[in-house]
Amino acid sequence: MTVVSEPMVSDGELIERIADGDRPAFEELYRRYARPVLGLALRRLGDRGRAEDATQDAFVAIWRSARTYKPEKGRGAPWLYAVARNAITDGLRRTPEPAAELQDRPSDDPGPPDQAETSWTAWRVHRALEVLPVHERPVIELAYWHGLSQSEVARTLGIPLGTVKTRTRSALARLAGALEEELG
Amino acid sequence: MSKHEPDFDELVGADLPSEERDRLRRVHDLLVAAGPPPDLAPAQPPPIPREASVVRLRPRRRLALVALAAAFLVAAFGAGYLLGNGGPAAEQTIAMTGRAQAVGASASLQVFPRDSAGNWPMKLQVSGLPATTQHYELWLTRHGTLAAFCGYFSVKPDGSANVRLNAPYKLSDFDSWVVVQDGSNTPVLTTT
Repeated sequence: MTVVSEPMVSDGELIERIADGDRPAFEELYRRYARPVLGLALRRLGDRGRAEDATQDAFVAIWRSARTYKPEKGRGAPWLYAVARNAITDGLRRTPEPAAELQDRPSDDPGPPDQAETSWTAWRVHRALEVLPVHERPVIELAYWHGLSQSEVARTLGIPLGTVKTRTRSALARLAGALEEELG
Repeated sequence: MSKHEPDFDELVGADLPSEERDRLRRVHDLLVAAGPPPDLAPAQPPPIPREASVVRLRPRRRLALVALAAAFLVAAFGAGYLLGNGGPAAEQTIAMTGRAQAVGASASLQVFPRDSAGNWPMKLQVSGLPATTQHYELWLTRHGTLAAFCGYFSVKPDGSANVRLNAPYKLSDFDSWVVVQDGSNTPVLTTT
């Protein structure tokens, strides 16, 4: 059985292994990309259940089409984005969005300006988050998406404030490395 | 999830060199723009790929796909656009025109010689696209389908855009370029 959990194995190498039927490589790729694919599907479909179905379809498509990946043509992330996006769009055509029900009160859902986030940027950011060590990821998630101050993060995690600051800087620097292309 | 945006100064402090500070600031902005990743159900296992099975398309869907493929191929053929040796040796400009959903739109795609990193720098100038909160995407096509993602862009309220993109692919493996709206496979701009 191939061991593929080392972070130095690139996405492209994993896809090449999947093309040879390597199941552990597929599981590692799933671990790295399940959230970005589900996030992409949620933005496209707007419904958790349909998005989860589409995510399954996307990974089946990745498994089936891994042989078409050519590393000399580019890195793994854009290839995965293309395959996942096409699978999600195909799913959208097969199961059209159900008719919306009228609501009694204004929706709390974000309006179009808030939904204008870029799929590709979110894809890469969510993928980059998967490279963070387990002790760094919570400080980012609590600060950015739970609205906690650094002191509150320290209390929540039960670690010194200085450690929170060190981990936050380290995590941002690690993300900068992973997002180098995005940052130009 | 809170919409509270964290205080960048509190996160990184004030003692970083300006270059590193700017670098982390850009990461901060990307995190804010991307929003939270979705939560996965804890016990959700990787899907077990089923063996590929032959699925016969219903005639209506088959016709729709044929029509879409034909639209792509006609556009590519009409352009007379053939790339040799992986891509253009000199700067090349390709005209694109609006399809049914963007009649009157047009674009000019400049493809420059391959850079030292092996990418093909491109400059895309667009006018007349419907202004929308969604983004547009530039794709390379092969055999009538979207095959390789080259980047995204948004248009100004007047429907114009002027962006620099990169194609990290061997261009001669593809037939043409198209622009689609985020989430759609229907081209709004194709090569002419």
